[in-house]
Amino acid sequence: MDNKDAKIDRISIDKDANINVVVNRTPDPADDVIELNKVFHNMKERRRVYAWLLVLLMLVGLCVPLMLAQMNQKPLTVSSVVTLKYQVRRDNGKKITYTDLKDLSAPDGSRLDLNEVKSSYVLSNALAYAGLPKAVSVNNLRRNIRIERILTEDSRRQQEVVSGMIDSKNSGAYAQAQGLELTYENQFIVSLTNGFGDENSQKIIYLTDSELRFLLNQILDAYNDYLIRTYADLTLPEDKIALADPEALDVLECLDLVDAALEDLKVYCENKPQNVLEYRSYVTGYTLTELLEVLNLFRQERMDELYSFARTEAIAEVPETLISGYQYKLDSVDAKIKVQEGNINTVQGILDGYQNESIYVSVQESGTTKSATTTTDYYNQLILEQAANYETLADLEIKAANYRDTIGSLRLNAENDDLVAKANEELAGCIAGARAIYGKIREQMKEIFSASFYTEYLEHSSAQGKSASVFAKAVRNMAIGAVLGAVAGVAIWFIAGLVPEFRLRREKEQQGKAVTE
Amino acid sequence: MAGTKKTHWFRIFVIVMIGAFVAGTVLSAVLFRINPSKIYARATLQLTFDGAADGTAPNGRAYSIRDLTSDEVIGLALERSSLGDRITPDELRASLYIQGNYPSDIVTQAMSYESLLDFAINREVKYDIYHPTQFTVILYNDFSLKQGELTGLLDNVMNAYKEVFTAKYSATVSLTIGDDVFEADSLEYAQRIDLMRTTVSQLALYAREMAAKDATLRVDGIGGFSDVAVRLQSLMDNELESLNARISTDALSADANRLISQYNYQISVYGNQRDAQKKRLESLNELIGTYEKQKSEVIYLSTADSLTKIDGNSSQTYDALINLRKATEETITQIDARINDYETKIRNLNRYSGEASDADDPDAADAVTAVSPEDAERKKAEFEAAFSAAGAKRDAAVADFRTLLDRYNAREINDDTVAVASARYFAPRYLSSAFALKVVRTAGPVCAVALIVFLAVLVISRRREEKELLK
Repeated sequence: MDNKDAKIDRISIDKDANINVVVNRTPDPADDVIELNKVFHNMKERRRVYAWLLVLLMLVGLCVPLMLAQMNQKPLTVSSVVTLKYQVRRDNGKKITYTDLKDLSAPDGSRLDLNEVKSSYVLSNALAYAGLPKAVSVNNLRRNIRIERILTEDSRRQQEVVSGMIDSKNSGAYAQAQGLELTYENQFIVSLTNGFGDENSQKIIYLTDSELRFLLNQILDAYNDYLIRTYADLTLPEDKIALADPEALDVLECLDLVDAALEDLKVYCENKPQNVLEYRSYVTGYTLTELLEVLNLFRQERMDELYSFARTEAIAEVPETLISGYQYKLDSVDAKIKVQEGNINTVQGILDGYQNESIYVSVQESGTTKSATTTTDYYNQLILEQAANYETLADLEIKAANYRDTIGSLRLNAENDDLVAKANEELAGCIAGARAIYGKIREQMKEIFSASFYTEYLEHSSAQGKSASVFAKAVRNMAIGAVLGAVAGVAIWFIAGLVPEFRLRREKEQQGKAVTE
Repeated sequence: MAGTKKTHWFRIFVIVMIGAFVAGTVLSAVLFRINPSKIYARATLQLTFDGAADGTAPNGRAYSIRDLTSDEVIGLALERSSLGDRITPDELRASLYIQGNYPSDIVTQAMSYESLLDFAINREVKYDIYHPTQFTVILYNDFSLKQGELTGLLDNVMNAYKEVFTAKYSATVSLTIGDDVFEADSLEYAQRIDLMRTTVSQLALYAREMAAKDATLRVDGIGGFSDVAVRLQSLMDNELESLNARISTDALSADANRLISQYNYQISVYGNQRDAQKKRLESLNELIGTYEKQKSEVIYLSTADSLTKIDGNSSQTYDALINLRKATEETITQIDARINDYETKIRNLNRYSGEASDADDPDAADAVTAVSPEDAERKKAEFEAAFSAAGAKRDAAVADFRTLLDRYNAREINDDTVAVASARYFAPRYLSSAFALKVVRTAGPVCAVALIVFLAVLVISRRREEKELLK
């Protein structure tokens, strides 16, 4: 069978046959895959090191935010609500009225400038009184004080409405916003922040919490003192009764002077606010109202009575001087009357010749024009002035008539020493009585000046404000830090477990290369 | 081997931690020494009487805690502690810190505002002024006093304040004012009655105010405030009126001639006033006449969306003029009435002085014959007796009023309503909680740092061990 073998040995190659060469290239799986089991096994082997490293990193992650929070701690701010509680005095020339404070006016009706809380006077007094161990300068203190005013409910509502209009693009909104007049409550908030230092210098002084609160308290007390010093009217009534000197003057003149003094005293008392008038003294039990009633009674019963006695009996030690005194007074009142009559005539002339405005109104249906005159404002004012002139004239004429009567009766005077002596005795009693009333009113006012109307113009709440606990705020960051630390620790541990595998693979590769070479 | 290593490390751990803690404690002690917190004594005051939360004391007046630093209280306290020579009042005042207990959110409350557009919110009334009723008073030891002295001083301050408060804010009643102003004998009978009427009416008004404030207080034999008010009122209505009647019908007077001359004087004064006011009335009438001619009829101008009155201020001015005229007429009427009153009184007095009434006087028809002097004396004596009886009644009512007020004060202001807790002493001591807190604050970070360092060392040493093992 040689032919068969020879047939097998020789492969007949056709001319058109294709020869395909396939090269076998399957990779070795064991070289490229990293088995996780092996990694974890490595990790477990290295746990003695890396477990503690994990704990370390977590701890660091926990502590770093805490440290950062401590370093960046915001200084404490304490605040107080200040309520102004005096009465506002308004003088319209004729009467003085007192109203409770509802906005930010000063006690005399002008606008209160809240910046005075930061004035040097107030702050330096506060610092001196507080006696802090660390020296804080007035300028540094001023920089850390903040004053906020509080809008009234009405103003806030107006603002709200207008801002709502602006939001909805209402065209009239801006005009309305411009015309908005904001009013403020009679309360405001004063805040004091810790950390006093110049802008340029590095040194910043920090007070303790309790010192800061104490300082704010002192500042507000010093402001109260400032308000009282500036606005409180602490004048006691004057003693004009001493002007009536029985030695030098006649009975009638003395009585005039005492009467004038008591009138001044009455006006002084009546110009005080209602709560002062109703204040009942804890020493004597009187109120000013009661004292004024007694004063009126005294004038009516005692002084008028003595006056009429002296007048009708024409009591005068030196009649001529008395008569000339009254004559002088009469002459000056007469002169005033002349002036007043002149005024009246002038105004009358103006009124008579005044052309008031005529207006023409056309009536639609009938086509006619109706004319009417209206009085202008100036004319109205003149009319009222004229009426007031009449009143003044009446008062002056009454005075003049009284003087004339007095002079008349004095001229008829007959010498009567007994009556004169009696009158002088009663005058002494009268003056003593007037002095007694004056003394009582003065004592009452002194006591009132130490009451809260005149010592406390503002009330303030105690300084509120807590320094937030560093721990509480940083908790979130600490948790994040701990988690980050844990992640880092686990990652390092994982890599540590991974590294030997990589080394093994590299070794195998190198071995593989050596084999193929 | 591993076991000993573990214990070895554990021992080091314990040593390190203890060391760190000790170091931290020492450090905090040092810091504590360098920056000691202030020494102070602290007491609390609580006010629970009626009206304390509104800031009003039992006698109706506003009270203020500032009285605690007033001269009286400080002076009393220094005197009682016998420290007057060591501490001046101003120094003491500068070391007192009074804190009212305010709600902690008072600042946000003040700034809060409930939007008008938010109808769901239950609108509460905003507070006006919050008056604290609990106060903490702190006295800083700026004078190097001992513990006992400091607490004693603060206790004295608080007690002195309690006394001054009781004195100042108790309700009081006035003693009768008029007595030392008027010499009673020199007054005419009518004037004496007027004086008593004034003082009694003031007392009655005050009694009624107290009755309104406290209707339940009752004392045996006296009743309550309203009873006292009724007594005083009836004194005015009955006794004084009858005395008044006695005077006018009998025309009693201490010195008739003088009274007559006084009435004549008053008549002439009022006569002057009447003349002047009459002249003024005439001028006003003329003025009103001229004004009426000038003033227009009232014209209203109406357009599509408004109605305007063309008038200026003339109606207001006209009203003002009419009011002035009315007031002047009223004044004249009053003056006429007074003049008539005086003329009647003069006529009555003339009966006693024996002067025959004026023959030209058309009202002479009711002139009566003169009264004899003995009768006059008797009537005067009767009057004076009745008057002093009325005076005695008034004094009895005032005494009872005072008793009631004392009872009221004792009930309103006492140890319970003005409660003072005794002073406690606070000094930075090593056994205090403040120090413990400081230790935790300082030693904590130290321990943390030590722990980190320890762990780092542990990690490094173990790594080195591993490297050796792997080799």
